Amino acid sequence: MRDFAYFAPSTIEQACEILQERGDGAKLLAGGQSLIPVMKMGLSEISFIVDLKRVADLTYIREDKNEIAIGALTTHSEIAKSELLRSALPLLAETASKIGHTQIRNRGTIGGSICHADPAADLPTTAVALNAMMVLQGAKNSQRQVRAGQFFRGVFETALEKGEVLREIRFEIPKGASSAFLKLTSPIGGFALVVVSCLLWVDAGYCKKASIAIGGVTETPFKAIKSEEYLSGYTLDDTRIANAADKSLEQISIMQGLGYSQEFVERIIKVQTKRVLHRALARSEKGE
Amino acid sequence: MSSILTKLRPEIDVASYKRIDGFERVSGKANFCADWRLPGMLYGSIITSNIPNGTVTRIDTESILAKEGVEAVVTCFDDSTNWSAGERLHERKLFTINPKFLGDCIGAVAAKTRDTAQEASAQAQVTYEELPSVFNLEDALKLDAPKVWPDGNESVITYCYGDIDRAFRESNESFERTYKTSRVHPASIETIASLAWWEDAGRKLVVVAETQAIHNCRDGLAEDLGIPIENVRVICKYKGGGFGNRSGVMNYDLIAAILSKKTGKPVMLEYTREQDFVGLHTRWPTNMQLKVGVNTKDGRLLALKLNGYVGLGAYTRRPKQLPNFLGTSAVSYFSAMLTEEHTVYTNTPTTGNVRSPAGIQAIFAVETMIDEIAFSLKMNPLDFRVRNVRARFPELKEHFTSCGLLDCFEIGSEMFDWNRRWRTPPSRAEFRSNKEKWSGIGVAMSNWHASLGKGEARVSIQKDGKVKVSIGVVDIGTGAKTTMAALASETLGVPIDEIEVIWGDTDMTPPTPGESGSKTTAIVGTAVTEACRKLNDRLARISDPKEDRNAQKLQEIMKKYGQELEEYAITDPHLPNGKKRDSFGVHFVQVDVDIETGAVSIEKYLAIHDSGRIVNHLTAASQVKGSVMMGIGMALTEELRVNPDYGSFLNSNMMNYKITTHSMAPNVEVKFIEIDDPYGPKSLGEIALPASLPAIGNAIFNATGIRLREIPFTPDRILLADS
Repeated sequence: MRDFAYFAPSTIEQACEILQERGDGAKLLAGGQSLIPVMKMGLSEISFIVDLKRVADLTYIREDKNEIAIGALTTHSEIAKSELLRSALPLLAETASKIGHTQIRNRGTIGGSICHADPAADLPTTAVALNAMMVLQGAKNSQRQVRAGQFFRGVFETALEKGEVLREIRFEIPKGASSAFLKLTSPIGGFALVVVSCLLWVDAGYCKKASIAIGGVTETPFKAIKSEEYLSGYTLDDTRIANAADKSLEQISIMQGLGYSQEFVERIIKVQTKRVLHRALARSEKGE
Repeated sequence: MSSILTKLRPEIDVASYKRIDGFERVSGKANFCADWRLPGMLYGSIITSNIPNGTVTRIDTESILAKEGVEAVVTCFDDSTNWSAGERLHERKLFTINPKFLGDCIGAVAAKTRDTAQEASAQAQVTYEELPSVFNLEDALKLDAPKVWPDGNESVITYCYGDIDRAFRESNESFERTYKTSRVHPASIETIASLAWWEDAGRKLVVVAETQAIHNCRDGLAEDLGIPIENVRVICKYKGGGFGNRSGVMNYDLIAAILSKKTGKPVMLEYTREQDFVGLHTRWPTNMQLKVGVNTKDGRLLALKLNGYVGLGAYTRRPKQLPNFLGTSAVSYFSAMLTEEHTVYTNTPTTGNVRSPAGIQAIFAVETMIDEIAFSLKMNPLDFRVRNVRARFPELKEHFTSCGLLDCFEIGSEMFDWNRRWRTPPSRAEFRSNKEKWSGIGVAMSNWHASLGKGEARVSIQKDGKVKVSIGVVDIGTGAKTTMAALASETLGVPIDEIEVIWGDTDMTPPTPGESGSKTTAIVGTAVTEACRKLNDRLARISDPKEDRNAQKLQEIMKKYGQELEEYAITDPHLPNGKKRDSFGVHFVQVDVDIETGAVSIEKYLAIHDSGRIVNHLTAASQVKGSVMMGIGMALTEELRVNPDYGSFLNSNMMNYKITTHSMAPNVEVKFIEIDDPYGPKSLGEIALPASLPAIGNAIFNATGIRLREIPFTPDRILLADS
């Protein structure tokens, strides 16, 4: 690992200032479950680490009217175990419970995972399905908000500007929706090949609305709008679900270098999308 | 069946000793090589070639030495030490001017910190004259292929027994298939490290190595550095996995010694995980063409011909030992066999012996082929095997010192409930029906040679009645220390916690051939038992021989006697002419295959073994489980991919090279058939691996009707095989 300087500010303002001063060589540490391996592999020219652990009040899960607000340093374990999230945002809790291994979930944070923007990560896909809002803080306490769909810009690239910190992620509570999350990894605990998150608003088998996001196979998680449209306004049966899953392939161009043939990746996307839809539908029938 | 089951001798007291060094291992007290710290210790790092083939014309040592913290640099231009254990046919220099693969060692650096050493070696300015290279078997066999060694890339070894021509003539049908195995790395948890320093005004070399064989390592260091054996001391107290990779002196041991000599300070040479993947040899990738002659009227296997291509990389370690297919299970089925083996050099990293060497590839091929033939003949694959082994059994009983193979099949079949569970694989139409998961069962067997050889042990009883057992083993994870203590305990009749084991240090222990070839219990254990018997004789002379022995009694005897008792035993049994000694194992497995994703999960696993007498059931069962985990990795996920343009590895790290994880691991049930062998315990560690690959592959076929002839059986191979 290359030498680096380390700084642990006690406020977000200080963190923003340092990021602004140091430019590209500076990087936020928010759990370190991706950053440290990247540094150990020498893949990143990081000379200055800004550790957020001393910043107060970045770890919380709060209900705020129709929304849930989560502090950026909240760990995957905390999200997975939160009673509030399990009832109000089960998709997020389910996703967090499937990340890596126990040790990774105990250290890794939602903000860290989202800002790292790894195409194979789990949370970005679910954030897109849930249409999450990223609350970004910049220099001099300036704040702006960016939707997940616009936040992920490329492989390891986000809408964060120089000197900005993701401080909170806000989710609208999807009232009446059933959801499911599914990923295929090899081996278990390894990086995912395909990640699918979905929400279905179903009433007695009739689909009012659907939200489907697919990750792992494209540079950023994508919204399977064609599949969503194909489902919305119809009664869901096996054929409609299978066809909707097939439609997910119409709008994507699969990344190179996944280590598998295009044909295999396409089959896995279809199967996983089909299965995740069935799972969400089954949950709606059970009233979950 | 019940008559066989009574042979299991349930009345035998099943010894299951917990590891005597368990606590220090799990509490972090055990010092592995890289845990050592000495005052003034420097860190070493190797400089490796950036080209796959050519000549180094210059290494800018001045700029390396100018870096703050760097204390020494050695390169191929100033050190021509020969690494005698490094290549079986050719001369291999420690630092080569003519690198033969990307990553070949051309120099080394010693510096004050690990980071400085690694940076200095990585940033070394090297100029080369590059030569054309060849990276895969097919290209290397072409007439105009670049030659990795001057005498050519290919050599052929043949082996046969029986009358192969007659056996094929007597067959009314023959089957031909091709099987492939991938490049697999042992991926021990402990990565490469070696700590060296010189004592006694530079006369005596001490090396803390991570080796499987302290005495071989010492002898190799002495030979290659040209110093007397008594001036070398090798210490290895704990080893995080060996798997055949470190059974002699390694280049990094020699490099640490040379850097220490040059700087006058202790040098800790460490490799990163990526360097470990490249710097330690992998298994030989193979391409095996099989032809089997069968008498289909009575379902008898008659003749086997195996034409195999074996990728050696640029070097193949283990002098005098060829990669060979002799360790196959073929002899248990076939009265005649011919193997023709083509070994092929390429400009890729080193290959060599890795746990169950060469046999594992051949057993995968043979046991899969037999399954295919059984299917063609519409026979239950277990019955087909048993029928053929039974027909050969009179000969096998003569051939081997003991053979529990039929018992393994029969008891295993009953325990696994094979006959009730087995059904023919689904047809293509059935398979594609709307069902997510198919379940199937598979079986495979293996033989493995059980070595005999010279073992030495020193056992003493101290004045206070404490027993000391001194043995030249390392304990590479097998529990050898505990097993030796258990043997001394049972022979002397004192509890195991009264026994102290002295191990892992060439200055303190008798020579042993090293922990490889699954022979430590058989060889060293026999010597420990013999030394203890001699002590028993002496104790009988100085005390009442009829007295029951326990720790307190022993203490009283020794108090009266007033001096230490010591015995040294050298045992070197030989087999009668023509006899062979093998262990046997049969593995049963149930898999579930997700037909939409191609994912395979191991649902049930049963391993039945005849390894003769089992000294310690707990460590023995752990050996089998460890081997099966390795087998599951090879069968399902492990494959080092070679860059087609540079011959380097594309996934040389633990993130992308997928070994079996706990969450993939099934519960493995282990059963030992303890048949007495006149020469004592037989081999165990290696035999428990090879049958796992074909057993899993055969179960996938039974589940899906899809026959895979290349490992690993990845989801995409399974899914696309059906399209």
